[in-house]
Amino acid sequence: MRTLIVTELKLLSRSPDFLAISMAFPVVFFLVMSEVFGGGRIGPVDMITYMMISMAAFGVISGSLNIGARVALERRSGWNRQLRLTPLPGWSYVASKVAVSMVMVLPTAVLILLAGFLVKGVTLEVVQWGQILAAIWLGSLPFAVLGVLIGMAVKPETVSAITVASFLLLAMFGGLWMPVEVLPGFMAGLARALPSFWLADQARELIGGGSVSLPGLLVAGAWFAGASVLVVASYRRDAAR
Amino acid sequence: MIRDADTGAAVSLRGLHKRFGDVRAVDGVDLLIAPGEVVALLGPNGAGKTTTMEMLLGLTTPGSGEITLFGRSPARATAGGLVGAMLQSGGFLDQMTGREIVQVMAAQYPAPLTVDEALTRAGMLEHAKLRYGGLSGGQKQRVRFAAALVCNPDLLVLDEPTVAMDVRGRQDFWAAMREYTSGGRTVLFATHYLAEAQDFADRVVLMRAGRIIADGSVAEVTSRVGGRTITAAVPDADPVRLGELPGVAAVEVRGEQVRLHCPSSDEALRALLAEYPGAHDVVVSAMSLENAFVALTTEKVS
Repeated sequence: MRTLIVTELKLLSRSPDFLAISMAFPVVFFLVMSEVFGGGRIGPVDMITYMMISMAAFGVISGSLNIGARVALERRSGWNRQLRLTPLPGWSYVASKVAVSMVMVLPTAVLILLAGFLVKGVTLEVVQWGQILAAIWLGSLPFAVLGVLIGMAVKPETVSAITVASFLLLAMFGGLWMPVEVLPGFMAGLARALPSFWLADQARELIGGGSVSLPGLLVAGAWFAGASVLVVASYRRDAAR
Repeated sequence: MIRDADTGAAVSLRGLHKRFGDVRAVDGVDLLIAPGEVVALLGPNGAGKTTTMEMLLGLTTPGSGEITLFGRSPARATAGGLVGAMLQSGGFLDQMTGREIVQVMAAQYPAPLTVDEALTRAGMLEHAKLRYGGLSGGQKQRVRFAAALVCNPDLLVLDEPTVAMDVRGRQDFWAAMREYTSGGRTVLFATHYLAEAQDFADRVVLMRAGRIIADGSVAEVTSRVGGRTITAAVPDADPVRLGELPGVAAVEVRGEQVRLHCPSSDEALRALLAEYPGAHDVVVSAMSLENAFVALTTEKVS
């Protein structure tokens, strides 16, 4: 599995333009959005920090879901079929994809926090920076599995459309673009069922001095479990072909 | 057909069925392959060769039937590194180099060959740094071969291994295979090139419409379709007497020229020469596998 992960990362490093674009995109988004929403405070944090966390969440979500395109490519090329001929267990294949996804989204999150610090002058304690990064990065796990699921369950031709639709919907209804505080009531309720809302909310709570929220963990855990079950089902369906 | 001694078989398929919708892709296949046998799987497109191979590799779940490889389930046999395969549906990523592909495969197995050795055996060592996407069809097949070999398997399963290779590439490929099988390893390969089956296989298995319709050595399979043909110049040839000779199935007589279709040409020839000592210009010609193949696979399904 280690060789698989290393090789995959090596392959990704061969398309630096793809990496640069997928990392730069959320940074640009953050810089624009923070201009639009300007000053003020929401709950425990100021608006700029709020948007920085939201956009970091958005960045890791879109980055994580992008792994689906790789999975789809590998299904189309027959590579994962070839791997199924080896002793490599199915869960190992999925785990390697999740690991690659998590390695890929880390720089995205770091870049946005850097932009917040250097460009937008966000000032936080070192511990708080660490809390944001840890919450956003570890919180990307369900999205990595969701990305693998999209790659396994959807036809290769439609993967990119589904990926884009998924992260746009997750971002919009999860209150990453517009704070849930300004959303109408029913949408604010819907947001609380989405892992995207909790991804940003956990980070905000932590730097506001709060602790990891249980409902947030439960929602993220439920999405993780649900996506994992469906990944296993799609893997079996592929196998029974 | 199924013997009791199949516990030691390299491949044992019993009552294998698989449907895709209304299509019976595999419709009752029983096949036993002993360790060390080199078996060619022949048949027209859609005969069920690929589906049979994918089921025996555990890539496709059979509708019904039993599969064991060296007495184990396909999953356990592949997990143990006993089986290497080159599949039509298997593929590699264009951005990977040949070496990376073989490295990734090697890393999954308990006791693989070295990457260099697998590449050397497949004749791909010098081009190992090239990306898969830029390789010629023949070179791609070599990378696939190296990837199949690297686990040092006891059983190799190859689905049309030489497709897209030129004549020279095919010769090199089979030379590498001979070297590999000289150690007593088992090979099951599907091919469209009948000459490859004739030259390389100990045994040919002919499939049509999801069933095995002939199974045996090349000689046995071709004899299923009239065996050999004896032509000779026979003075005073009498069609009735000729037809009664042992080993003769059918007779054509044109003047002195006689053509006998013989399931057993050896028997027929002895009898012919004993009966007609004056017979001359005798030619015994083999029914080619190609003729047998066409005859057997175009017969009406009974």
